[in-house]
Amino acid sequence: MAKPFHLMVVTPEREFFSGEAVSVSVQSIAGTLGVMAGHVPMVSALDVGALVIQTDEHTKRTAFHSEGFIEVRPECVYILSQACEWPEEIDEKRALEAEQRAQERLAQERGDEPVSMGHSKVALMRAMTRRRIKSMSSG
Amino acid sequence: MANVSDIRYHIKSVKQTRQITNAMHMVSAARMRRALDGIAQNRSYFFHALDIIVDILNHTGDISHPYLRHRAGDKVAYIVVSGEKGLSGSYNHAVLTLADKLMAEKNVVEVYTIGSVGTSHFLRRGITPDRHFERLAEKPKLDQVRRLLTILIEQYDCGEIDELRIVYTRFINTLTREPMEQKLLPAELSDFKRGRAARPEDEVYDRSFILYDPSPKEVLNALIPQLLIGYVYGAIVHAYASENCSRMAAMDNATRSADKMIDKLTQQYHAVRQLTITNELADIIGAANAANAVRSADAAHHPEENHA
Repeated sequence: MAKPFHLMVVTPEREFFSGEAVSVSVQSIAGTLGVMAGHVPMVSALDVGALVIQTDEHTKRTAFHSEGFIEVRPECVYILSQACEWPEEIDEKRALEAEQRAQERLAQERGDEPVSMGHSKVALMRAMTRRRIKSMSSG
Repeated sequence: MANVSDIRYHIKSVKQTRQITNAMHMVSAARMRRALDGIAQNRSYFFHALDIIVDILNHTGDISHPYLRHRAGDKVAYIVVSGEKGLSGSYNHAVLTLADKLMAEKNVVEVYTIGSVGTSHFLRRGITPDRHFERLAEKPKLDQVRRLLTILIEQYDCGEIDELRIVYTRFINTLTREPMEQKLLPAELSDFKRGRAARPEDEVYDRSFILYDPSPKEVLNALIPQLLIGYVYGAIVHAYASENCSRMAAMDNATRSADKMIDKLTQQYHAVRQLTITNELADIIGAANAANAVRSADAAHHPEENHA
């Protein structure tokens, strides 16, 4: 059994998770990143994606995380994200609406100069990831 | 002097007002406590982001970032955070006076307000806020803060504004609040350090070997907007805590002066009531005396009738 380490997941609104974990995986801007105990100290920025926390050999939970960053320290791993939600906290209707809105915006902007295209894309990503995580847990 | 029923009516209305101020006092106290929890949460998020940015700048040398460099232009955008309602003592007045004073000195091209008191304040002065957010402070939503900052950062990127500043009320403790200004863009990291306690583990931990994935520059690019979002969110939480704290104190005072007023009116009521009774008694006694006097005068005039 792998060695546990202390994990803190914090958003500006609340402390999302604090406790021992065996491994954690997040979506960083460089790709999916998994961390276990004894990882080299590092810092990376997070994209929108799935936060997978394994607390022991049999328990694994998936949650949604928004942009943020991860800091791996010798004694502790910090994940700070603008928003984190367990699947049961995700409002699927809201995510679906946001997805449609973002898609409409993207379709409109395609013709114009792509100034804020990045933001619509991120919004679309957020909505789609939320829905994906929701469906993963219910299905 | 007022009569008894007038005073009774007055006491009743003061009592009702006292009930309202007392209720508002308790509501503000509860809201303030909730906001304080929010401050603690946000602080850890913000300072982590700040530490990492400072580390990157300290250890990786020749990296600079457009959000950290000063520009020549003088076009300033302001975010002003004020209350949603009045009845909060000097809270709104203090922050808006500071905003007015600071804005008078600069070339302000855009104003964004959070809280309806600020919005109507600027409208009265003939400045239409470019965007205003109502009820945001009561239940701060991160996505709204993100939307606001996305707009502003975009304008900074295309050169429509050269500086971004925020005016809000910083919560220090339940007795002290301080309206203050903070420059957000270009960011001055040393300013943000205020109120930050040094942590003992920082000293044992050599931060120069940290790996930045994929690269320090990319991490920095991703982190700076997040730092700003964290700061603005924190400012809103601070402002909300200050507003409720200020309202709590104001309502406590109001409740206390209502109590004093009720005491005074009750005394007055008793005095008037007793005076009325005394007057009535005096009337009765006077009348009785007069009647007696008449009777004895009659008896004196017609002594023979009594003997009959």
